[in-house]
Amino acid sequence: MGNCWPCFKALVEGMGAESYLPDYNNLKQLDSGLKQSPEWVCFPFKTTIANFIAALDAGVKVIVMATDCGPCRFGFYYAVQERILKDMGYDFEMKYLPQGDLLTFEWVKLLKSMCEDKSLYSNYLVYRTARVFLMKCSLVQDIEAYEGSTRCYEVNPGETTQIVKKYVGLVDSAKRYHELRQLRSRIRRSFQEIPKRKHDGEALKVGLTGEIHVTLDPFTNHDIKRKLGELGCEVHMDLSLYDWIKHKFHVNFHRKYIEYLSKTHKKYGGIQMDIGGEAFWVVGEYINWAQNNFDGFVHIYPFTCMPEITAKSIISKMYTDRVFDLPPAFFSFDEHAGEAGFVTRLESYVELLKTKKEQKKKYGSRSK
Amino acid sequence: MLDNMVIKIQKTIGIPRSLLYYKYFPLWKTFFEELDYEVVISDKSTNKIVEVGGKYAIDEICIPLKLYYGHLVNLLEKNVDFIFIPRYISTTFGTYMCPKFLGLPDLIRGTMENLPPIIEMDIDLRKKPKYTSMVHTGRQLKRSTAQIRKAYEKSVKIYHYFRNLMVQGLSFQQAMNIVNGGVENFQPKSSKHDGVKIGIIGHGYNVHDPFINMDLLKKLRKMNVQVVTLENLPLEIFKQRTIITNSLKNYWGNEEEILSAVNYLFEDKTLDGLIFICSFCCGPDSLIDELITRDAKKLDLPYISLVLDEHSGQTGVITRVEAFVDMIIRKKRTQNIKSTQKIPMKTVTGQLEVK
Repeated sequence: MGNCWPCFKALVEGMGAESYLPDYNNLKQLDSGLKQSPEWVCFPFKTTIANFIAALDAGVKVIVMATDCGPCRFGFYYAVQERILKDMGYDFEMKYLPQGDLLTFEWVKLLKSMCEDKSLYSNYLVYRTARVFLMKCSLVQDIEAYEGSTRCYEVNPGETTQIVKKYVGLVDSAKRYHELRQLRSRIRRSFQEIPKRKHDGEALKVGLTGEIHVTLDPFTNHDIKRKLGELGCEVHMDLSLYDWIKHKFHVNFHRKYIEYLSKTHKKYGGIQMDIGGEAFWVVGEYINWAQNNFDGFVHIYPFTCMPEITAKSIISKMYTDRVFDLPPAFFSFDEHAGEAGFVTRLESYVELLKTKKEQKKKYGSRSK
Repeated sequence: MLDNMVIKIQKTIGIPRSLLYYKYFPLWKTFFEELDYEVVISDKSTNKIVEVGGKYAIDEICIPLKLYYGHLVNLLEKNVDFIFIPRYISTTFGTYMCPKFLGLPDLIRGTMENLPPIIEMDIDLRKKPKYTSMVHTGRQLKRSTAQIRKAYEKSVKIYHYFRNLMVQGLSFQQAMNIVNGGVENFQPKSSKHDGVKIGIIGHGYNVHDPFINMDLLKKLRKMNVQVVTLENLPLEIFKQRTIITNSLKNYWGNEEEILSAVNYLFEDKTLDGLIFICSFCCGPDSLIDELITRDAKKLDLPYISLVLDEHSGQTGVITRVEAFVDMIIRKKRTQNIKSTQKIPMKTVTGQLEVK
């Protein structure tokens, strides 16, 4: 998933196992996944199985896949994928990481099974790896947050992208906790040192959210974050791997707040419970950003994703009823997406936001 | 006494003829009628209803839900006082329904205007028994607990009666007629049937709605095919959780039924073929279909999955099914010939007559 690979790599290598890193998702790699997967399954299934095939071709023996117990399709992924890959004739072992509720600590068992050392020392290893993993997740979240807020102001185009690449590499190469701690301030400083245009308050504030895999993987979403930045939008994204893990440890108070927002807007169709995917939080996030005077809202999800469609219809109705004055844009992705059509839609959306902002200055908001 | 005075004016409750109507309607109907409300159902699904529904629903949603919107609009035209939209969260322990069912009342409330008051019923067997949820529903209609209890007991009885009728081999429509008081020519299930036996699996709203599946069941029966649907199977098989791998238990309510039915049908030696009806964009079915296909391949059982939506042409689907049935007939005859070895195969296959 995009820039999250150093975290997972640390998780595997911290326990003494060897990890294999497939390429970033690309069309050639995806092709093998498309042939094997069912026709109208959601897109993350196809990308992940393509990655597995690439890994198995390189001689990998064990595959680790996360699962969920929720009402969404995600929990079925690993079972169906194992079945398909075994039918293809590969010989491997499928391990699964139950992440429905991380407080059950079943992931400790999984981590220990990776470790060859079975003595008490393995407990310490688990502790050390988990600590490094969480730190790396949090650093990647930092990098992505700075990336969104600086790109639209940069003087030399492409500088932010380079710095992001550099620091993701540095996060990967740092192995110890104290090295990672020093990185945090370095990241902040170097993003501040990028030469910037004067902040004149003209940049549009756009919130980006959606299904987690699509939002974090730049191949799947056609690098929507960079494109929005280049069009002059400050991209705000609360979604990240760290955010998700915090949520699964029940300590994510931001998510608790937006859950509350969704629940209290029952009159306008706010979702009342977790229905899988990110639908619950997408609706809450929409209300949150509308109340904080954002200019735009972009919601992205894989084609035929069941929960996100529910959220989409609720949000578009909220806007047309003028409950909130925050124009939403929806993009669904699968392997048939055309790049040019997507860019045109994005550009026209940003143009609309610009005119809307000017009008807002003159005539005020149109919400009730 | 006060209650009796209120009851005099009978108010109407509208129930859309889509989604879980095809499973729980007798239950809902007796429940509301016992609470002294009149139950109004929307008309049968037609092309017009889908078109109207398509205006409200977004484009990526599955066809049963589009129909649901259409039926709601149809009910609005009938001027009902309330609309009943249940929220089925889980129907057996440890399972969920599809996300669309979980968010159904929110979705409708958020996307449609001028709706009469919505009556909700949250069925969540993971947390509370059915009785509690139904009491909560009865409370929304301002009825006493004693009356609700009575209604609950009767409705559950009727529902079990309805299910038992279907287990005995009746089709959905026949069982519905009997429950509603009509007399149906009831023929007990005959164990001798010389034709082809085909199992039809899928969600109730796809299999029993003649609009979505283009009256497939009737057409199959005309071809002298014995049709077995999911509801005709014995009730005991649905009591055990299906296991997909050692570590994964299935967690979808509707798919739970489909999978246990498939497991049962796979062991049935008299079964000749299997048809899976699913709607386009259906999330769970896309993965379940893959699993069943691979299982059927192993067993060498003829299997076809029909993916339907409002654009699918009737002739195309019927041709596929006819070809499927013909193939099974041919396969059966060659197998018979092989086992008896009376006539050489070549001459007979040339003379085969296909109905």
